[in-house]
Amino acid sequence: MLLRTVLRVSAGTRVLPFLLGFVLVALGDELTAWVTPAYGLAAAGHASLALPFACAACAAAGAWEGGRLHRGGVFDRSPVRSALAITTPVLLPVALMGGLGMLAALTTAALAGGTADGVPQPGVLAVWAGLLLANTLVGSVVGRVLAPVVAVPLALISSFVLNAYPVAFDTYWPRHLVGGGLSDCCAVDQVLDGRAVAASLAFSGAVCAAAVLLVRRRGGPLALAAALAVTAGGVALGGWTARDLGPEPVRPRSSAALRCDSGQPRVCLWPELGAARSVLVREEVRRTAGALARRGVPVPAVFTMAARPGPGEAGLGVPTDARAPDVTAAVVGGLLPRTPDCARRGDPYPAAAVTGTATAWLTATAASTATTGITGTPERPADGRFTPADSARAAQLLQLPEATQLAWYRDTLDALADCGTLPPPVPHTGATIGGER
Amino acid sequence: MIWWCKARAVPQLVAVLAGTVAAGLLLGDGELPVPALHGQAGHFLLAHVITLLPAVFLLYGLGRGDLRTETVAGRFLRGLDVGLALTLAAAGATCGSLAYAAGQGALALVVARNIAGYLGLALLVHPWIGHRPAAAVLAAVPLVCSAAGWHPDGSPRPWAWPLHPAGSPYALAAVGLLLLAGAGCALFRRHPTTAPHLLTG
Repeated sequence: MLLRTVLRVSAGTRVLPFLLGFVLVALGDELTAWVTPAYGLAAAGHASLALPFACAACAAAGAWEGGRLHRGGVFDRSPVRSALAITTPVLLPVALMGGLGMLAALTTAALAGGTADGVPQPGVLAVWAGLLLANTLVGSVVGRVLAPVVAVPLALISSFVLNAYPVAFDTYWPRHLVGGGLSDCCAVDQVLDGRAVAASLAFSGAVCAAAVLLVRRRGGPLALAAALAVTAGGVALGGWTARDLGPEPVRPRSSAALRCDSGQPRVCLWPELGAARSVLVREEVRRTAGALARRGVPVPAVFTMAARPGPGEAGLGVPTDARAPDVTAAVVGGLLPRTPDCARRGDPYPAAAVTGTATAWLTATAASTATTGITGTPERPADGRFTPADSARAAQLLQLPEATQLAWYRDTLDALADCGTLPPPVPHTGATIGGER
Repeated sequence: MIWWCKARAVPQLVAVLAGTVAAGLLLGDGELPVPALHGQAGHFLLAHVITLLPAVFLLYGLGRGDLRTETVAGRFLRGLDVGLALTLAAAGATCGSLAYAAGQGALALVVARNIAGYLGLALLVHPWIGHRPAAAVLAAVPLVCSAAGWHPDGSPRPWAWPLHPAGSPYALAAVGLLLLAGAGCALFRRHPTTAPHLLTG
């Protein structure tokens, strides 16, 4: 068929405006929220929100094309070309339509994250291509079998359900088969796990192969059994590949990509921050760490943005569009210990009540001037890391002698590190922090 | 009439309606997990999707006959078809009300209202674009509602009538309007299938 004929009559061409409108209008708000700025992989992963809808549209259009081939009686008239050679040019525009829809989603997310000039992410794009092809082929098989008036709605709805449902399961491997966890990718210290991509490609490849078998063999019982076997094999292979993955298809990013400098303390940042912002962040970290060190607070030698700081290093959780207050908050957050595993499991954690006060005290101490060494009540930051009650307690603490404050801080650090130690009371008031609740 | 009944597959249609009402009551509060979209909070129930079935089967029946011959039929086929659709809507509403009165809960009313609404939408759309694209449009309605039909606080938007709870006057008015407009379009768009691209179906 002439290319212009194929494009003119294809169901993909008719559905494309609706798919693009849906992605841009109905999903536009969602695609632009929560994208990690300046990180191309996060934009690609976030755009995967549109994948169930694009796959459903591909399946429905594929069902229409399959129904058209069936109604035309093409395969009853002893064609010269093979069934696959007839079906492929008819289904390619449909898959292309799905690809254009996902491209629109990717562009929207990338523009929101400021990564419009980023390199396309091959893993995510491969997952998308595999799933769109699989949905198109299965849709065309459904359209060949059932009447189009029933096949198109059935393909649309069941494809959507099959692509969106696995995310709700308690076991994690089904969601990786249909690319379900991709929209959680990625924070700036995470990378896509290759096993998730491999699992999805195994599944979509097996489904494509099964559909091709059915198309070539015209649906005899042997072909049906073979197709089912291939699909089951693909599910098993994909499930086995993804068996160890958690709910998100990510792994920590290799720290070889960190850019560290040699100041005091050392600051290691991801390159996504950009040159100008890195300079700003480094200056702020040094200023804050210096202010804390002058007041006697122990400050580690290295601040790093890696997901798992090593011993003697402190984590620095700045966003990629960080400003000065974010850096101060990140330094303070890095000095306090991470929540221990016993608390993540749900055990009682008495020191949780004192985290806000410690954060408020550290923030006020870091903001203190070098000359007077006295600060007022710390202002409440916009993200609510500590409450006004915490600010008041920190102000109380700041009236006390410096040695008392440092002793309280050391005891609080010990209490925050495990579930068994009780937090120290705020001195000279006699009240335990936990007892006020 | 017997020929018309066979062409429209009326017994199967009644069976599908009964099955839909039963399935909606039994399984209808199962939730379909749509991708968790920001700014959306709401439940997408199986009952919002299952209620498509009678309308899709009605469209299937409308397309089964020889469309070209039906344009010159002696009997008023359009009126019979509209009457069939309205009877189905009324039967669904009756079953739903009986189930609600028997204590099945508000879901029965939602199922009945949605069945009637989709039937009205089918009548409205198919004289203009044919019965197959009309079925595709019907199937797209629950998907669009699931993606964009909820406010951030969990209440449905006014135009997303399938999602509204049982007592919502907006949704009842919307369904009534759809049925009226659908009946009007199906009755008064004369010879809807004489457009060449529709006759080849």
